[in-house]
Amino acid sequence: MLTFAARRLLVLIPTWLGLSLFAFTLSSLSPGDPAELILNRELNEPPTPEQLAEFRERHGLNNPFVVQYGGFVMDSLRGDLGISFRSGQPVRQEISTRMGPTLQIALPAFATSVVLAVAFGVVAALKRNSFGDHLSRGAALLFESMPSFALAYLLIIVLSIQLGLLPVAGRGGLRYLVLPVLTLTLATLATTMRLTRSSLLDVLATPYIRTARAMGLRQRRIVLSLALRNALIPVVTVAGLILAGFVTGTVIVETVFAWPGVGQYVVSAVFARDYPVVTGFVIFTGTVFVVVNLAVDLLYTRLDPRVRFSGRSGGGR
Amino acid sequence: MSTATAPDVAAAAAATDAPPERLHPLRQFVSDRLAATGLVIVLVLSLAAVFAPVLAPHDPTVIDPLRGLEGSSRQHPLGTDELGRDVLSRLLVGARWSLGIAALATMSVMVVGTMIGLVAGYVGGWVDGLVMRIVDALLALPNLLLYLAIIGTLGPGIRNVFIALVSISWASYARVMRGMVLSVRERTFVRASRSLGAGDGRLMFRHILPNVISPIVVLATLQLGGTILALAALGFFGLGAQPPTPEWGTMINQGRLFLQTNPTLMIYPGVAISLAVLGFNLMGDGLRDVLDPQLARQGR
Amino acid sequence: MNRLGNRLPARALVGVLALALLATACADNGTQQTGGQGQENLGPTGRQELIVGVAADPWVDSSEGDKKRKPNYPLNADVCDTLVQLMPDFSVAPMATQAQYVGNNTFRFTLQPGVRFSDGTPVTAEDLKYSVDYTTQPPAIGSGFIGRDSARVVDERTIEITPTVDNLRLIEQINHPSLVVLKPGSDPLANVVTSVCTGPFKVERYTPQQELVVVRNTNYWGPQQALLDRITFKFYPDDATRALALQNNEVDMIQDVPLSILRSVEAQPGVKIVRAPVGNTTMFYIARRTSTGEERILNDPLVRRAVAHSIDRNAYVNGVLGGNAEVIPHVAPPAVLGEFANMVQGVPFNRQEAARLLDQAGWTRQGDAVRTKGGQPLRVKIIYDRVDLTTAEFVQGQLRAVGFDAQIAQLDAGAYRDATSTGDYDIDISLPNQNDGNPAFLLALRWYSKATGANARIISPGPNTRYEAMIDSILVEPDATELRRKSAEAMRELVDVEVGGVVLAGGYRVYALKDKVHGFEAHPSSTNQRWRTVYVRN
Repeated sequence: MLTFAARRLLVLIPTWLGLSLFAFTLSSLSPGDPAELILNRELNEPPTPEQLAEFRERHGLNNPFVVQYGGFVMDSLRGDLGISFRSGQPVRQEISTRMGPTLQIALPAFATSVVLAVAFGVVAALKRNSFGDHLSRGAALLFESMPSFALAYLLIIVLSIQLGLLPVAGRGGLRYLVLPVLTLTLATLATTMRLTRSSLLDVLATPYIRTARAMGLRQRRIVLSLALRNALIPVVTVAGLILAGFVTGTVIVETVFAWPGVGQYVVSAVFARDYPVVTGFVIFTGTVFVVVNLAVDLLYTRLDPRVRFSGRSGGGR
Repeated sequence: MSTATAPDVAAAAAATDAPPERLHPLRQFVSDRLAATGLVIVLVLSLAAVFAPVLAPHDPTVIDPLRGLEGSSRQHPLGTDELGRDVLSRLLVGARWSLGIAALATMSVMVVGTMIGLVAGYVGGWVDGLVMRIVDALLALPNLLLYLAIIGTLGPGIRNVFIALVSISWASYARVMRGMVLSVRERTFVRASRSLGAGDGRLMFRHILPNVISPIVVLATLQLGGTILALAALGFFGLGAQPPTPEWGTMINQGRLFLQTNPTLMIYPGVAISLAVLGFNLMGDGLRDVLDPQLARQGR
Repeated sequence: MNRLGNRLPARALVGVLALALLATACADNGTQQTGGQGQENLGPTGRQELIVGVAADPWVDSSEGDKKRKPNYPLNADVCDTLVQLMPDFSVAPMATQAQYVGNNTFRFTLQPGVRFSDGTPVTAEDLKYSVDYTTQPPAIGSGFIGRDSARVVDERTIEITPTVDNLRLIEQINHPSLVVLKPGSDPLANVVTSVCTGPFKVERYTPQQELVVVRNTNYWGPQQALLDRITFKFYPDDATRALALQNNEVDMIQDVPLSILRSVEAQPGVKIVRAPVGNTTMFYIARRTSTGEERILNDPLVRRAVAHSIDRNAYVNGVLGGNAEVIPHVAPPAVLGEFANMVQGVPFNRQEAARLLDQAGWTRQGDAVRTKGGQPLRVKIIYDRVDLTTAEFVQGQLRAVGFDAQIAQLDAGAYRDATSTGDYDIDISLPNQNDGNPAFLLALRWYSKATGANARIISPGPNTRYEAMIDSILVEPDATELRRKSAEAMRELVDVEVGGVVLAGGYRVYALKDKVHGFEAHPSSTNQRWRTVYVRN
């Protein structure tokens, strides 16, 4: 198990490095001279050439690309993701303070989405081609086709304005959570549901399930104890990626609902050209990806022992 | 999945010569009512986009503030927006951007991605490893964030949106392509061909390429929907088409201000986007059923 | 094999689409109900807490200088006193001090009796000097040409200020909330909660991008304490969300209802709209040259005048703003010019004249195409701040109609600042407020080439013009009536002759209040808004 984990890590590290290179390249491509930008804002007037030169020396901006990149990587590994142009605070701190609100909507949404998707998927697979099957898949498909902000505003119009059941936006008690979580859930339901359904259908058609049925085991028992376990394997793989995507992809929902999470913060950083925050966030996401991937792979081996011995976690991706 | 053999054989069989005892693909596609619906939607929207300048009753960029926020009338079937511009005209011309750019971008991405995947799969070795790591990296991050980062850095406008789309989205094509190349490469008939002296290039184009077209086409169709959504999201953030060019995502963004009094300003473009994406999704699903049943069962 | 079978989920799709259409139909209700008038003169009842929805947190993406001005500018939470105050009719009255001109470009400020900080300690002249020096330390803020050595302690209750240049307008200018009475050691830039002021409220907490909470100062030195126990200012950067927050009772009132959503807010039941007299103008500045002196396209007076002729103010006010503003040519609220306001006429809307001027300047077009001269297109770059995209698109549309290739650059706060300091724009749409009692406030701040700030170099007519001479004269004019007359003359020179800027509308401050909120008096200058008289009747 440990060697497997080590091997997976070996594969994931270059990925992380690739991401860090992307992030660093992006920040170096950004227009404007960071020395000028920062000093201009700090001093409230154009900086003198001496001030610019001194700033560049101090922050190592004169070093060659590779050296700067190396420094960037070393810093990132230490957990130093840079300092925000705007606030002067460490990026890591800015991100972590806002992580809470994001998790507050991402985790419930993820849980709800997975549970609902699996439930609907199972029902759809068992009652194939029934009206319920088509209805749920049709609705999920429709929600998936809508841009998430349109879906968000639709929910606002119906549930908040018309029915007055829920508050429109902002952060407060439990009631404020409902709409953002609902939007996130609905938007991602379809993929997982479809995957569950087709995966379960595949498993149900395999010989050993048919054998179990022939041996007299009840349908329900079959499904719950045997089939589902195997059917969920690809779902678990995808779910891991979905979770990572959730946490880092709540950008639109946070903007619409004025939810002070990481997504909204990074968007505002993009607009304010606060590049350290943007690149720091890319690194952060990359790290999350590596961790989640590793966790999913390890979980995968427990569900499907064949993988442990073949040394590859193929399939499903 | 790594050890299943039966589906492999079926795929191989389906991929080589005439598919055994199945309806002709086109016929099957059309008989699938949902896919046909998708096709119809896509055709209608595409025609609307292509003929928009002719169909649009007004110039979508001309303002008339004293006729702002009007409801539907003979002159303005879908009403006017806050500056008095005709909504119908803006929807039609907006389709050119939303669909046109999406199509163009998807095609470019498809070409780039498949080329990269082909090379990576065929050459193998460290080239393959490097490319796949980059692919993994790109697929790790949420697309929207990457687009925002790139466009936020380079500035808004058509050119940079294009750059952003192409530089991020090629990854999934490359992965699919490379996977296919790997699996086909090892098949007996290819090895047989090679032992008979066929050159590399010939092998690639004659044997491998035709067999991987199907999943690529399916992927492209499905990805078109995703690209349209991405464009809409960028428009929502004000990073898409610049005023006064109409664009569905931007129309939703500006319609937000009138959520209570004129919600149609948001609803019409929202419906347009959803329809377009839905159409491509349905079509893509149908194509997948027809062209590659194995992929279909994987539910991808 | 047809996975999806024959039973069309189309039925399901139709069902969900119907849901969307249902939302459309229901949302079309435009039932108007004006808020009940209530009994305005009865006193407070119930808990005296108020929640105010304001726009984005102004101290998050702002310059360091702006951060020094928490919580007084641009959002004024009535926490700190200025030396003198701006009244709603733009006259100046004493606040923490009484002001007097003592000759020789020197002004004396004497503390009012009993002025003390919110912690109970009395205010002394040394404290006043600290407050003035706080504005001149870098990053420097404040107006009136006050320098680092301008303030002097005369005795325990008096200081004197001598501006660095001849400036007889100091008293009209110094009521700007950049300069407030601070207890030594206070640094709002670093920590606004521990900063101590003298006003009827004090800061309880400040959570950036979420809220600013102030509570009643029980040590207030004035004749009457504030009526409210607590005010919470909540930040809603998104206009639509702010309006909806009022509807859903998440806030009791909204400050500065953006005019584009005024209609939807007015439609809400139980809400009353309060307007201040004209206190700001929606207008655009015209850049003539970059900060390095390079000429820009609108430096040509013919082209500038053509731009002014292309703007239909009436369409903007009555179309875009739905009649919720005034059609005026003045770049500052006409009230400050008093009896001389009519001297300013503005450039009338006339597309034919605009076309003629452009042709005369050599910019010709074929049909509806963009005008060109020598192969170059007539391209102008529009930037904007404090107005919404709709206003920018309005200007763009008007210019395109006469043949300009008008491009809008949507910039964030930092990029906007950069553009305005380097002159990388042609038209800058903004919403300047009249925040002090000086009728030539904006004229001297923006278009006077000797003013501080790169902006002046970019948009000013120039050092050797009639306009410049007029401003020179205004700065040393002692008589109030002459001051108004000269200011009107200078404004006429700027707007009618030089076309240094074009006005789109004279705006009101608009607030939307729930019926339970009383005692709110809308100040035309929102940076001088007072909250001490507000109360609620639950």
